[in-house]
Amino acid sequence: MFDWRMQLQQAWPIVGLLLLFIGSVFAHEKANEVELSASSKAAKLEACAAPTEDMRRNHMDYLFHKRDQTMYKGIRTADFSLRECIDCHVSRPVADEFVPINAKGEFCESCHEEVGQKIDCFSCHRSTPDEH
Amino acid sequence: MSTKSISHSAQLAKRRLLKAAVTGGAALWAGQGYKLFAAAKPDEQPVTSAVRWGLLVNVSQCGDGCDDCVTACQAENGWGSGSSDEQQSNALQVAQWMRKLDVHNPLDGSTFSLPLMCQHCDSAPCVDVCPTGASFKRADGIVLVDRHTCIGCRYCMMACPYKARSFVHEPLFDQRAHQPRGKGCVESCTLCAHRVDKGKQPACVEACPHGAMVFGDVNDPNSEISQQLAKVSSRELRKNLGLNAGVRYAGIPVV
Repeated sequence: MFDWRMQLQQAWPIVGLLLLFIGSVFAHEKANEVELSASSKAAKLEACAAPTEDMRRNHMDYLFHKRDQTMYKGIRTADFSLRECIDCHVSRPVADEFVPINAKGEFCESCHEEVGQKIDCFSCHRSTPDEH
Repeated sequence: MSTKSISHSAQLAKRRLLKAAVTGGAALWAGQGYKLFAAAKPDEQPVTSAVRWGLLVNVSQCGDGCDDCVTACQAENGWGSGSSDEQQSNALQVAQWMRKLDVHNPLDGSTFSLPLMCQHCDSAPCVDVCPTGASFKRADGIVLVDRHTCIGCRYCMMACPYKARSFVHEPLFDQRAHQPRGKGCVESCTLCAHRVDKGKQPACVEACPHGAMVFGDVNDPNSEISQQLAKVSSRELRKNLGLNAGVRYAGIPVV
């Protein structure tokens, strides 16, 4: 006869492994949270142009929308403009000195490297605020 | 709404207010030096076809050997001398958004010089031939390249009768924040769209020590450029092509 108790006893290791696996996914998620550079302006503010969760998921769409608004319609407001993103999120170890935002471990690159997404912005766009 | 998000928005609002006060003050101060041609468009409003930006160059006032307009363009847009522009490419192929041409007539020996840049045509051949729609004309008549869509095919460079466009062959760095530029894209004079949108004049116009360039809205009969166009005799280069250029030249000797 089929013994359920026996079956369950055998399944414990599998259940345990499964739990471990799920746990590791969440642990990973936690590690994925982007650290704001302590020397950036952003670290001193409580929120971005949109709530942080929203920005994490949708920043690319906001940037794309804004870029077309600016390029085709000449709308040059600060919200979601790449220039403002860089100005606020760039590390400033010393006054008037910046670490390129796409350098290893910096705000853009750290997350994009993690998810294997190449950033194309900085082949044309400046990666530090303009000091001129 | 949590108290946290209220403090977010309060902080953002404070930041914006402070920024508005600072930029407003700066504009007031800077405004003293500019010939104001029109009230600046509010940042959040799109450009409209009610305006058509134009440029009038008075060649007879243009200084011989003076290239202040070109240097100002280079500094403003980050190309040419002082930039990270192409070090290894053919010198004839490097970016030139604006050139100062010396024109010599061998028949009577007369010479004159003029600045040549994108003429911001109404029916622009570059826009016509672009296979991806990257080359486009803004509602206010400024012809631009959308580098996000440009595939670098250079059809527009061949189509342009003024040789106004350039192609970037090498990786660039240290661009100006308001003027992204990069390898594999075509580029040309933007009529300083980033300045115009903020109510300023193009860098070349501001830099001209001879007052030979007038910038403004040709659709507005009261603008300085419209009044000058009505007063002095001017012409388009290659008028025979029927492109209705936005840049006009006065004082070119009749041959």
